[in-house]
Amino acid sequence: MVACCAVPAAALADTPTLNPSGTLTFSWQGDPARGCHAAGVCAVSGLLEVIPADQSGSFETPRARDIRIEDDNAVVRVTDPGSTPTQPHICTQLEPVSMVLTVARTHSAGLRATGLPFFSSPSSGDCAGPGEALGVFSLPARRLPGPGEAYDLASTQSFGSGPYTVTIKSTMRARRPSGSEPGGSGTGSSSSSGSFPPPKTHKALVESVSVQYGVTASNGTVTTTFAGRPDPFCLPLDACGASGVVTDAISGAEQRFEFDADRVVKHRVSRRGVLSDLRSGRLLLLDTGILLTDRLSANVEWPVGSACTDKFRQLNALDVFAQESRRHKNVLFSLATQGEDPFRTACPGPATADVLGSSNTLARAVITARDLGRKRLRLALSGQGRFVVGSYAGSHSAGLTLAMRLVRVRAGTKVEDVFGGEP
Amino acid sequence: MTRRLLIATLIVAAVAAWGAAAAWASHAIPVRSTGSSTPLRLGAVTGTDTSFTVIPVRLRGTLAVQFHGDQATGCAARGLCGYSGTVIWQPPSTGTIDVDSFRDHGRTEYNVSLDLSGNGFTVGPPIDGGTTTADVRFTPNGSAGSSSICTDAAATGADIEMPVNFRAASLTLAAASPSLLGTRCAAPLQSDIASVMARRVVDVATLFHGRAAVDLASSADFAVHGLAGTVTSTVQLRLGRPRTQRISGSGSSSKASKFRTVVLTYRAHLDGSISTHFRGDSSSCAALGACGANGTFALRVHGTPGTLALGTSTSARRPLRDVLTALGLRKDGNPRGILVLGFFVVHGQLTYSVNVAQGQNTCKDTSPAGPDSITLAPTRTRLRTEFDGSLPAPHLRCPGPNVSQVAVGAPPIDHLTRRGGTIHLTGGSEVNDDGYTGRTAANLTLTIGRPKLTVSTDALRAPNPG
Repeated sequence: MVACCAVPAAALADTPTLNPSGTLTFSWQGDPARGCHAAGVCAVSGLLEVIPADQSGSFETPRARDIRIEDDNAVVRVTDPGSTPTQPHICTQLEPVSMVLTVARTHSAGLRATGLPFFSSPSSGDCAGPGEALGVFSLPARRLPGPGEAYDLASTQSFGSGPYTVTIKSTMRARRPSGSEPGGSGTGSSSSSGSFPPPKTHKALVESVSVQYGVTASNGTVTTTFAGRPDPFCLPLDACGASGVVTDAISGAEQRFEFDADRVVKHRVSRRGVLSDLRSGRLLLLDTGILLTDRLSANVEWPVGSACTDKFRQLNALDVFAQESRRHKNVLFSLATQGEDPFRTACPGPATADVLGSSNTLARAVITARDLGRKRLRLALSGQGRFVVGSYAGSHSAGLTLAMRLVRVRAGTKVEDVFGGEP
Repeated sequence: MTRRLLIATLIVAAVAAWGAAAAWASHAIPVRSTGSSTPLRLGAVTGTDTSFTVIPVRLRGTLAVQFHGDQATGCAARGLCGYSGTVIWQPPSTGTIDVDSFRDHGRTEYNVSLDLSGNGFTVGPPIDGGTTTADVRFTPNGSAGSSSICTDAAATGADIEMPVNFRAASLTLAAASPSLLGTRCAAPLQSDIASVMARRVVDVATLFHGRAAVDLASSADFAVHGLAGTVTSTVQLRLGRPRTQRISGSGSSSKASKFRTVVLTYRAHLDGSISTHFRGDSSSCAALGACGANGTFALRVHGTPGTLALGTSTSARRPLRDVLTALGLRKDGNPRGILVLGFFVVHGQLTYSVNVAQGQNTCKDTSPAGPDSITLAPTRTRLRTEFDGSLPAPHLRCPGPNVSQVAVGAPPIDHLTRRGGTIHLTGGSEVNDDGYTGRTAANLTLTIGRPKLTVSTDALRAPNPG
């Protein structure tokens, strides 16, 4: 963390970034060879066209072989079952794309441009499709001749994702404009060399405790039911008459749940005293949590009578997060979403942002700090809510029970390096 | 917030001195500070007591517009009879109402806007404003031609101005920018439905207190300019607790930093046109129903004379020759670090016209535009001048691509700033919008007269950077 950023002044001269041109077209189709009949999505086909924004005028330090792909106006269009030329059923959603393609040489396949998520990967959004799996791809890259650095990324690639076959057609090229910009701001001002002084530390007495529990049982369910809103609000996502249920069965958890707390003190504190300080809220509890394993199953009925079903196991899409309450007397437990969207399946339906709004918490529980250190802990997290957003309206309910047994308690006072101002 | 305060400080300082110049001009000049939604009116504000209040807002509900071609209001002449569809606007779940107040010789002026652009750190992809989705069918009139469907979506409604009259701010979705109905499909203009949308008046005191609800629900029919239909809104706002920051800088306190503001004003006018030729892109036209489409839209400008202001605000200790060098009036100063900006609001006849042929049908439409503006930013040797049309969807009620109407020029600075002259703004760019390809060509001429120089010094207490 410290002393990482000493960069020679010469390296601070900014280099123009690789500037993309052309288009990147993602299309997907239910594939019988991949089980689209069982999933009910053989009649589903989708398209997402990404036209990367011009990046000329952007600079980078240090020079890298990254190509920034940004399209604020990318639109997903998915043709749903029952669609005819005269009566089309099309799910339409704005799905901005912001990602990076990194050009690197691989042992097996030569030069390739590999997609990395930046803010938002290509996705099928709330429409039926492979979800964010669209963003997991790489394209063959060919260095173009000429004095400047340029790559040809034109190709057509296919891969499977759940019941879909995805085709990526690229007509992209990326070229690094000539010239460089000195020192960052573009004003021509000289930039000082970037070396941050490390924060100063000093030795101090630290009262600390570590309470570790073993998770003996965990079970819970998150259920989301939804239906298309009345006409015309259901039209954008082709949700008129549609309804569905997404069930997330929490089947496993990490084996250990550890709570740590400490503070700087002037005098040594006994083990009993440290535990007392923890339980009375005098010690600052560090944020902690465990990751969960869960099985997601979705069943969405289209109005034409067919249904989409999907079922899969996912890791780390949900976690239980523990943090201290403001007054240090309680510990708040939250069942929350991690980076993966726990509502996304191969079927259409609302996403986390639709169901939870700006929150990412599905269920909560509170225990008093006094309970920490007890031989057995039983947590019952619960939560529920309603939503009306986009083309869908619905409700969600979540419940999770965690049973834990005390494994060990370490408590005492020791001399440690601490930063100035640390509590 | 700190950036916003600093920018506002600079602008307020400039405004204090530009007041006289703007008063000389017959028009107030709206200025939008970078990174802020704070529009100020030069000439309207000369005081320096400023406060910024941000009120968090939660939004719910949806706006839906269902429409069809309407014979009674002239769809045949416009080629709109075959179009029917639905446009839905879904606001983001959160936003802010920004209230900027300025104390001006005993009177308080307010600038209020609903800012929906910042949903950056919530879950999901970042979208600037709400989302508009269009589902529009085109059925050729009385012919055997097959119908086509345009489905599209766009980020819209990032900002809604709330004009204030007698301490009451007026809020209507019809004032949203970009237009809530703007996609690449045919649809009514926002101005077509403005008269049937709810308009709510909220007392500024209520905004400062927060914790109130504003209901923009309404349902009504419209029929205008060849399209008729129904507007249904269920949009509601819930205001949270406001946060206010103040800059106090009244008068010329001896402890306050002295600022010098130097402004060059010119009589100016703009003429010319920006035109775009486009056609449906055979590889991606189907989703927009744009296959076989071929069209042109043009912005024609016959401006009336107005005031162009080019100015800067610096510490009063900075030698005046440095400032004059930055403005291109001298050559012996050091302009380093002096930010010069210029504005010109284009008044007069600004007209958009559209002509889109598809099969036997030709969609034609016209609409007044503007007021648009020109920004000027000098470099050491050039005066970079840019016109950016205010309409992101210049195809009006017809279908067509969304194209920026941009023209730029960069003439040598010294002769122009000293004696006036002519700036040619040109531009030609490829159009590569989803479903369409084409080309835009710009040819505008900005004619500016002889300058008038105004130098004034005032004090302004710098904002607390915290």
